[in-house]
Amino acid sequence: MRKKAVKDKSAMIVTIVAIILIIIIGFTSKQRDEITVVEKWVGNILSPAQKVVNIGATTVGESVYSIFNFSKIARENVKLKEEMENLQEQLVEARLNRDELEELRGLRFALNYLEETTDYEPIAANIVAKSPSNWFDVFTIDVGEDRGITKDSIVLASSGLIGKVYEVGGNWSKVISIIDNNSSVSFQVLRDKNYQGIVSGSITNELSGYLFDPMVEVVVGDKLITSGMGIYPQGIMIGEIIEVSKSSDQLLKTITVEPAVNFKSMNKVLVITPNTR
Amino acid sequence: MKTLIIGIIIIVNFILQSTVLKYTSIYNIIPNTSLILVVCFAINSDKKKGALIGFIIGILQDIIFGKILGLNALIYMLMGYLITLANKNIFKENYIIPFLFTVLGTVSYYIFGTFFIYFLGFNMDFFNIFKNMLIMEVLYNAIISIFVYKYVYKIYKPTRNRY
Repeated sequence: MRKKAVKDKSAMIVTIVAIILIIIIGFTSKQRDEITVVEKWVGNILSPAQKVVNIGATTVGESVYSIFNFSKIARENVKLKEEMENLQEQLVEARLNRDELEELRGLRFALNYLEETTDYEPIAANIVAKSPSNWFDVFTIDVGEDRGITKDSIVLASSGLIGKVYEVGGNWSKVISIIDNNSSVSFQVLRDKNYQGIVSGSITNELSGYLFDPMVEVVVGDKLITSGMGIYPQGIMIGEIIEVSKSSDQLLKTITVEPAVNFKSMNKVLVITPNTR
Repeated sequence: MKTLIIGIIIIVNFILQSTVLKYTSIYNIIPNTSLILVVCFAINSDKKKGALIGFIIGILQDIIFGKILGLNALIYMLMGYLITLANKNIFKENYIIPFLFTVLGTVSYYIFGTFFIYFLGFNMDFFNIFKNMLIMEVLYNAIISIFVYKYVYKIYKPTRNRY
């Protein structure tokens, strides 16, 4: 008799907790303004530990990789040196252009021209850990409220757009990447800014999207940048078109895009918190 | 003592799973060691603890990575509870047991999770999930669970011999 009562008790606890959890799931399925104190503290305690382990793992992983790929790295080195020389030439050219631009800006100021205020403040951050779940493409970085990160800040790598900040903790924040199957970005083709459209991620971590105007000519190899509509500022590299398809029953031209950022091996990111929002 | 060891294993697993384990991915699939741990602990422990361990592992994952709070906690808790309901009638020395339970667990984790995410209004591509992930991850999880089970079984074994 006593045994039966105990059995019922544990079943009841599980049921009650399950119901509470279902309610919590319902409440938290939409994006929240702020996370709870408990969540914040669990993250504050765990993320430094993850950071240490991650740095260790990356160092070991990279040194193992470099031992096994010695010849490949030597080849890459030669190629990079060539590229650097090229870039140096371009740098000189860019410097000249910049001087000219500054002069023109000075002129504009002298003429009391209205200034566009795009004041962004980049903050460097390390990636701490990546979500082991396959449903969402979420990872955490090692800056949070302590460095003034806010919700919807933009996260970049040196080569292009990564995503946006979803939730902020004390010294950590959750980032949701553009290849997550629920995020979408509006783009324009670098070649011609009138060719615009939307790309969104998928469960297979591919970017695919469509163009607003099905008549425009885009080709494989066209580069895409953000168009400035939505939360992302204009002119950030998204990726390169690797496939263009148009079926007769669809009125839209669909494209598949290879992201500029290698999402498998990211370590350092830049976070931009817009001051004016 | 046992509780302490289990607690340390849970924390260490969580940290390793989110940092180091990405180097072991095969075809973009990372083994879900949390699920494996829930299954292995649940086979050995009694009802209350199986559900509790599942709940703790799940809620940790939700807090740090989840977009939805409580989803993993719910699935892992029910999984832990249901497996412990059956564990009096099974032969614990046999390594086919964790293999079978992990296969079942992974499949139900996907079905249950996809169901929830779909009805919460997120975008879901059912066919692609099952084609690209499920088959591979079931196999990967199940094979790793055998090795994990060996060690989990050792943690529980001494106390069973004493009585």
